[in-house]
Amino acid sequence: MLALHRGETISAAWLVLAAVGTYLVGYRFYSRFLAEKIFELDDRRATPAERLDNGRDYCPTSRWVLFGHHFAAIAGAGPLVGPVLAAQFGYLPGTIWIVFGVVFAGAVQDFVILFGSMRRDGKSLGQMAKEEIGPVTGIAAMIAVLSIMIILLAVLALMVVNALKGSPWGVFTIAATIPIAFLMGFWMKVWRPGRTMEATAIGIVLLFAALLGGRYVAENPSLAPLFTYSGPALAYAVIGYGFLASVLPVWMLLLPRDYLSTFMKIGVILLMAVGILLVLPPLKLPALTRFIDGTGPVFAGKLFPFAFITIACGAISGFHALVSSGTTPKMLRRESDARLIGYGGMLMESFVAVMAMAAAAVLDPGLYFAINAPLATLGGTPESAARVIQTWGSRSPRSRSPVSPRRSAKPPCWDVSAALPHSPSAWPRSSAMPLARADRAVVSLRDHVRGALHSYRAGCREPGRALHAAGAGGPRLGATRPHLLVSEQHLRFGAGGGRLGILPGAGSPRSAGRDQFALAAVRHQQSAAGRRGPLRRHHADHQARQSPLRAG
Amino acid sequence: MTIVPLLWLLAVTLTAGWQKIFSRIPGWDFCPMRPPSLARLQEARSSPLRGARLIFNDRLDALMVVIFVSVVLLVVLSSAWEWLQILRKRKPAVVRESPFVETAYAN
Repeated sequence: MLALHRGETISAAWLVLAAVGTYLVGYRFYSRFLAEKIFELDDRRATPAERLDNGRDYCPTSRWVLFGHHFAAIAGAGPLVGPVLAAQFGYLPGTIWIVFGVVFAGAVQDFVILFGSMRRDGKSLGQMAKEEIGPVTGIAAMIAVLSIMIILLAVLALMVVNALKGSPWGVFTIAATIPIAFLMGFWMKVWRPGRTMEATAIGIVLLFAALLGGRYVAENPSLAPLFTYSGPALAYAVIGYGFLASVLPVWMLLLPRDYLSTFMKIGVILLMAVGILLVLPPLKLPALTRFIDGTGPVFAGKLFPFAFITIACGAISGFHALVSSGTTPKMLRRESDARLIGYGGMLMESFVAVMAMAAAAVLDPGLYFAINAPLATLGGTPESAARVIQTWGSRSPRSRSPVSPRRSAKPPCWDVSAALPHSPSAWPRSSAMPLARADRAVVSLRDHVRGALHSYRAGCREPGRALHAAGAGGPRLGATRPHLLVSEQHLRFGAGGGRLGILPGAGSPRSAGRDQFALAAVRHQQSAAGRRGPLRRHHADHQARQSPLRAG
Repeated sequence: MTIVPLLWLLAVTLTAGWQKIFSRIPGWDFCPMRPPSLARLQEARSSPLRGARLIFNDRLDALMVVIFVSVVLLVVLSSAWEWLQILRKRKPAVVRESPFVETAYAN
C-alpha cells in the first residue's frame, strides 16, 4: 500500500488502517493457532487464580478488568516515546517494525510467558528459567530482570514526576483516581460482586468528574497550591503509592485503578484514531530521512540497529514478560482469557505506538526536529534553532557543521522548506536567497521535475531509484539515487506548486555526469515556470506529454 | 516459529552493544576504549563538574552494556545447549507444569 503511493502524499489514515488490518489478521489467525495448536488452552483446567484463590494476589477476575490491568501495566510511556524518537529516520521503518514486530514477536512473547506462568502457578520469569533451563540461566535471568526493573522504573517514575511537577490539574486527577479505585474495588468484590458494569459506569463518571475538577482546582488560586508539588515530593509520593499498591490486596487498589486508567488511555487513543480517519492529515515526514546514516540529531546511531532498540514497547518489550509472569497470570479466570489478555493486550499497545508515530509524522519535519532535537544542538534560541534545522536540509557538502564534523560530510537530501513558513508567498525573499548558491539553482518544484529532484545527491555514489520517461510505465531512462531530497508531501499533484527545490546548476564543480537527465529536465521546464509562475495543478494532457521525467 | 524473532533481536541487541562499545564514530559509543571525545573534553573545560560527570556516566553506561550483553549471551547459549541435548535425545524433554485440576466453574 505504501509503495503504491510513493510519490504522492499519504494520509496518516493509511497507517492506522494498515495497522488495524494487520492486527485483526494476526489476532484471528496467528494467536488462534498458538492458543489451539501450540498451547492447547483448555477451559476445563482450573487456573492458579481458582485453585490458589487467597483474596490477595490470586484472585479470579473478569477478563475485561484483567485486560485493563494488564494493558495499564505494560503500556507506560514507552509506546509513546519510542516511536516519536525513531521518527527521525522517517515514518516507514518504525511503522513496519511496530506492526510486524508485534504480530510475530511482541504479542507472541507476552502470550507465551503468560501461558507458561499460568500453567506454573503464576511463577516469575526467573523462577521458570531456573526450573526449565538450569540454575545458571535462572540466576542470570533474575539478575537481568532485577537490573532492568531498577533502570526502567527509575526512568518511568522520572517521566511521571516530570509530567506532574508543578501541574495541579494532573496531580489532582491522578490523586482522585485512588479513592475512585477503592470505591470500584469494593463495589466489584464486596458490595456487589460480579457487577462489573456498574462499577465501570461509576468509575468512568467519577473519572470525568476528576478530570473536570482538576481544571477547577488548577484555576482556583486557593486550591491550586494544595496540589502543586516539587519533583522530590512527587517522587516520594510515587514511592509511597507503589508500596501501598503492592501490599494491599490486588483487587482493592491496583486492579481497579489500572482498569480505570486503561479506559482513559484507550479512550484517548481511539479518539485520536477516529480523528485521523475524519481529518485524513497528510504525513509530512518523509518515509525515510537522510538520518538513517546515523547522524540524526535526536539520537545518534544508524537505522539498524537503533530504530529497533528505540522502539521496544509497541513492537516487543522484555518488560512485558515480567508483567505476564507477575500479577496477571495469578488472576486469569479461564485459560482461554490468556489469548485476549496476552496477545490482544500487546496488539492494543502496538496500536498506541502506531498512533504516536502518526502524530510525529503529521508534524512538519522542521517542527518535529525543533521539538525533539537536544537544546544544545539547536542553540537555545528560536532563531538559532531555525538556522540549524535549515542547514540539515540545505547544507552544502563543503560547509562545516557547527554540530558535528561527521555530519557536515553528508550531502543535503532533506527538504529545507519544511523549516520555513508554509505558504510560499509568506517567504521573505531573503530566506529563499541563500539557497541560490554558486553550485545550486532554485527551481519550482512541481510534478514535472520530480524525477530531477530525486536524482540529485552530491557525493552519493550508489545508484538506486530509476528514472522513467513520462506516462505510466514509460521506458526506463537511467538510474538515480534513492535518497529523498524533498519530503513526499511536496511531490504530489497540485500541492507542490511554488515550492523550492535544490538542483545542480551552472558552476557546479562536478561534471553533470549521471545527473544529465536531471539537468535536462530542469532546463526544459524552467521557461514554463518563469513565464506564468509555478503551475499549481497538473491539469492538462499536454503537460503530461511535455514532462520528460517521472520518479521511478 | 519464534526462532526468527529471536535471531533478529539478537542481531539488533548485539550490534547495538558492539557499536556502543567499539564504535569509532564520535557520539555513537560510550568510548570506554579510548580517551573521552573532544566534545566531552570541551564540556569538561567549560564546566569541570558537569564534564567529569558526563565522562563517568559514559563509563558506567559502557559497563552496563557489557553486563547486559554478557547476560544475554549466557541465557541464549545455555538455552541453546539445553535444546541441543534434548534434540540429540541425551536428555528427556520435561515440562514442569502444575498437574491438571478440573475447574469448578460452569463454562
